[in-house]
Amino acid sequence: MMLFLVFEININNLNGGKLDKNNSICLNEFKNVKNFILTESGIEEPKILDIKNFKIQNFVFLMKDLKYKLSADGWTFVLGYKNNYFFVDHTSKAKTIFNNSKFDYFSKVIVARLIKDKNLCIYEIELK
Amino acid sequence: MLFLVFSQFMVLDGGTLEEDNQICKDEFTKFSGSFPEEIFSNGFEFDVLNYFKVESWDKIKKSIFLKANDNKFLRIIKSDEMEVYIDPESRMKFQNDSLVIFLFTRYLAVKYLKDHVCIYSFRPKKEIKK
Repeated sequence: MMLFLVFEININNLNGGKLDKNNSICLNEFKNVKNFILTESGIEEPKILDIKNFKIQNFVFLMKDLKYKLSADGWTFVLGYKNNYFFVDHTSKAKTIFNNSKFDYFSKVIVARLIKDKNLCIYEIELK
Repeated sequence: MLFLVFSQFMVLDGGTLEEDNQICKDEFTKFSGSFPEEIFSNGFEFDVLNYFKVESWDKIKKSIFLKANDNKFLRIIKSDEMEVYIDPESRMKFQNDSLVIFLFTRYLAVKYLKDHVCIYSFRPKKEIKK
């Protein structure tokens, strides 16, 4: 059961939104998310572990419920930046090397991206 | 320890510290709303608020990244305009009614301007005791 939770966003309903099983809009938007999270050499292309697409009914309720439900699953909210809302798995610290220096980073993040005030795409991403 | 963190960001390769950081204070107000309102509802206290004139972008960006790493900050976002790091040890649980949320309470933000850089390390402002 735990393995299942690790590899899939455990959210199928959120107050303020309705799950849409068509993820094509989210797949097209991922290039705009990637710009903020691609880091240095040593980390490959981000790998999408899961996507959820919610049609927004009430954005404030939707974000509030998302924060609470992801927190309940152990995710930590970091900030909202340019329509992207960042969460990290604080247990996912990993190491890589940049310019001959070792550094730590979080290898599992969730980014929820607001798209044209109509959709919220939620991406679970792995960086390795 | 506070002095150590403060001094770490007073000298950066590729830039010169400038005394007047009013521009950084003004810039901060433009993006401070990005950070969780649950913890910053009383405002911010700055451990670092520094303004650098940039001589070499490559050097100063590398220097900031390495010093952030030395101070145990992990980078979360990187864009052409800014970078944001968090202190993973600052994770805390907040309760609102019966609902619980986890948040970080210590951030490092780097804002790139035309030929300057602003560096901020901040945490929630302590409540004023009456």
